[in-house]
Parts: sequence; structure tokens; C-alpha cells
Amino acid sequence: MEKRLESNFKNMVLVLCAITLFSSLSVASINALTAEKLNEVRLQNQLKAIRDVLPAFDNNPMEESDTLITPDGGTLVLFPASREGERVGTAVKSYSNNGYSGPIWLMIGFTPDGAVYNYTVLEHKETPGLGSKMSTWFARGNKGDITGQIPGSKGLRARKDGGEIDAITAATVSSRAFLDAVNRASGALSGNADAVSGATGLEASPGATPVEQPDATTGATPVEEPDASSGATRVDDPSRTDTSLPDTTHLSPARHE
Amino acid sequence: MNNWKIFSNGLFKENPVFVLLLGMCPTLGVTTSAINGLGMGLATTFVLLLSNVTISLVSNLIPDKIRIPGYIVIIATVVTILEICMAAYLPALHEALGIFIPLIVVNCIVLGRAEAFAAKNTPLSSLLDGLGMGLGFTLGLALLGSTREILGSGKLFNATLYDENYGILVFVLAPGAFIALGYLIAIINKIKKSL
Repeated sequence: MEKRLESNFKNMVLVLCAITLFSSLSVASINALTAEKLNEVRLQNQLKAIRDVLPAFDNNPMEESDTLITPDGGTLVLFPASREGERVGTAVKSYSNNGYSGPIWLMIGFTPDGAVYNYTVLEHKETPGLGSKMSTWFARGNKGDITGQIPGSKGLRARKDGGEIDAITAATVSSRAFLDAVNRASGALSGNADAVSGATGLEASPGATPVEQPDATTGATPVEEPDASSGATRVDDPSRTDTSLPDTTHLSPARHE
Repeated sequence: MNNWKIFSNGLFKENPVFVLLLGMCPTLGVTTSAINGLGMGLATTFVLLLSNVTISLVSNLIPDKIRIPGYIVIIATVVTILEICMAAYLPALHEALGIFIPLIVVNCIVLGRAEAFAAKNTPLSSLLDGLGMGLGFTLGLALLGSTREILGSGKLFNATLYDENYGILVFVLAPGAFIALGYLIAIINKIKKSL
């Protein structure tokens, strides 16, 4: 084989610069070429998810979407859907941070009376074969069917937690996280002014905190308490009383899935 | 070495999964189902092909002392391009393989072939070597994925073979990957000896 370029300082610097320059140029151009397509895919996925979880509609829910910021920095997005001007339901992009390994993102469709119409899992990192079953487990006709249920003010709970939903076998943590996301979506839907965000929640919060914190968490999650004093982040208190599930789920973090 | 020998070397004699035992992270990580194994194998094949050819073309221009960083940058570029294209045109597969696509960069088989073969051979031989090694890797991953899917969830390529409840769950989880790989290597060595 022919001789290689000599390893002196000048050669090394020049070659490495050339390689990195060439690499960044090619990556940048590919990125620019596919940017449009990528965005299209993202929007299509979102629209498909909305279609999957709601009855047929004829408006564009993404144009009328409404984004809410939760106190812990998450975002919920509401997609109202209507048919011939009449509201047929709302899809909510919701999440839970209580997943077994990482956050879970769901798109949940609610009919106007607050009942779950359908759902789809957008993103999760649960154990394959256990928690990952959530994408079908809670669907219509399956063991943990949540369609038609109204989470309402109580929230849906697993049978183990005194509720009526069958948790996924051997994946209780994942099931609780799933229901947490559903309840969060429902909470956002029922009172999206006071429950999740908006300036109105700011004034309402201080009174609500001291009452429910002691019994709900019994000190297991002291990290959440300091928020109360800051005021600004406690916008969610009403929703907490509504859906107390989020609190019960992180009571014992080391639980088996 | 003739061309067929270079190509088949990766498929059987030096199969990366069963003989060289290279690239174990994706091997054990993604093979929860046959389709994931196949997808990961093909993605790696694509990277191997492009990186092998590129590196054999430019290897004489890269001074010896910086060849490893040089190769890594080239490989990383190929992988990034692959990832962007997959996300745009094959979103379903991209979602299924997730984090393991960027991890192809550190898959030792890619750097291994660049260093051990592409840097010393012509672009054509390197192309064949990349193709052979890639397909050998694909074969290994698909075989391991199929085994785990059949034993763990009673399916093959998502077609149900028997009731999922009789599946041996451990084969879907990480320890099952080690167990299944170990037995597959043993079986393949046994077959090889009897040939």
C-alpha cells in the first residue's frame, strides 16, 4: 500500500479540519434538505394521533389548539374537534413523569361529556413486553379498557389503588403512570382555567396548599412542598385535589414494575 | 483474496455476532423482536458500506496518528445522515430503533472494519467487506431477534404462533438476550464442527 501522509503537526491539523468541515457541511445540507419533510412527518403523526382518538371531525384541531403549561414545566395541548360546527370532542396531548423509565406521552380523546373516547401512546420508554403493553391494554375491548370511563374529579385509578381499572400484569408502575397522564389530561379539560395554567390559578393557589398536602403525601414527597412558598408555580393546586393520583404514584418510588 | 471470499467472510467465517462478538450493545439491546433486529442490521449495513468505502478512499490522506478520530468523525457523519433520513422517510422504523441508531457510531464493528480492513484495501474490496459484514450482522440480529420473539412472546414478525401467556418473559428482557445469544453461539459452533 502507498505511503500515508506524514504525521506532523501541520498535516494533522489540516486533515482534521478538512474532515470536520466536510462532515459538518454534508450533515447541514442533508438536514436542510429533509427539514420540510421532517416537519411534515411530525404534523402528520400528530394529526393521525388526533384522528385515532376522536370521532370523525371536519375542522383542523391543530389550528385551534390550546397549550397549557403545568407547574412542573410540562405542557399539555388541547385539540378541540368539531363536525359541522358542533363539538365532537377534544384530544389532549398529556404526559406523566411517573413512568418506569422516563416520561410517557399520550394523546387522549374525550367526548364532550368528559368520557374517554380513545387514546394512543405517543412516546414511552417502558420495559418491552411489560409496560409497553399500555398501547393496547387500555384500549376498547381489552382487559384494562378505559374507553367510556369518565375520570371526572376522582380520576381513574388502578384496582390496586382502590379504583376500577385493571393494571397491566407485572407493570403496576407503568399502569399508574398511564392513568396519571389520563387524569392530568382530564383535569386540564374540565377546568383548564383553574386546574392547570393561566393567571387565574395564581391567586387561587395559596389557600389550597396547606389543606391537602399533609394527608396526600405524608411527607413522602417533601420536595414538592417548597413550591408552595414560591407561589408562582403552585398554579395546579385545584387539580391536585381533583386528581390525587399523581401524589399516590410517587409514594414508593422503589416499587416493582 | 478473491471478491467472493471477502464478501462471505463476514457472513459466516467471521460473522460479527456469532464469531467476532463485536457490537454487542445493539445486538443485545434491540433484538426484542425479529423486525427490530432486521432493521438494526440493515441500518448498520448501510453505515458499514458508506464508511468502509469513504475511509478506503481517503485513508492515504489521513496521517497515522489521527486516523482514529478521523474515522470516528466520518462514521458519525454517515450515521447522522442515516438518522435524519430515517426520521424523514421511515418514521416507524426510526421510532422502533430509537436510541440505537445514534449508537451505531460507537458500534465497534464499524470502526473495527474501518481500521482492520478498509484502511488497507481498495474501495471495491472495502465495499464487499462492508456488505458481507453488514449482512452477517443483520443475519445474526435477525436470528437472535426471532429466537427471542418466538420464545418470549410467541410471535414471529408479529404473526402469532401461540398464546402470548405461554411465552417465557425473560427472553424479551435483557437477561434473555444473553441466554439466547449464548445458546445460539453454542449451536452454531456445534454445527460448524460437524461440517
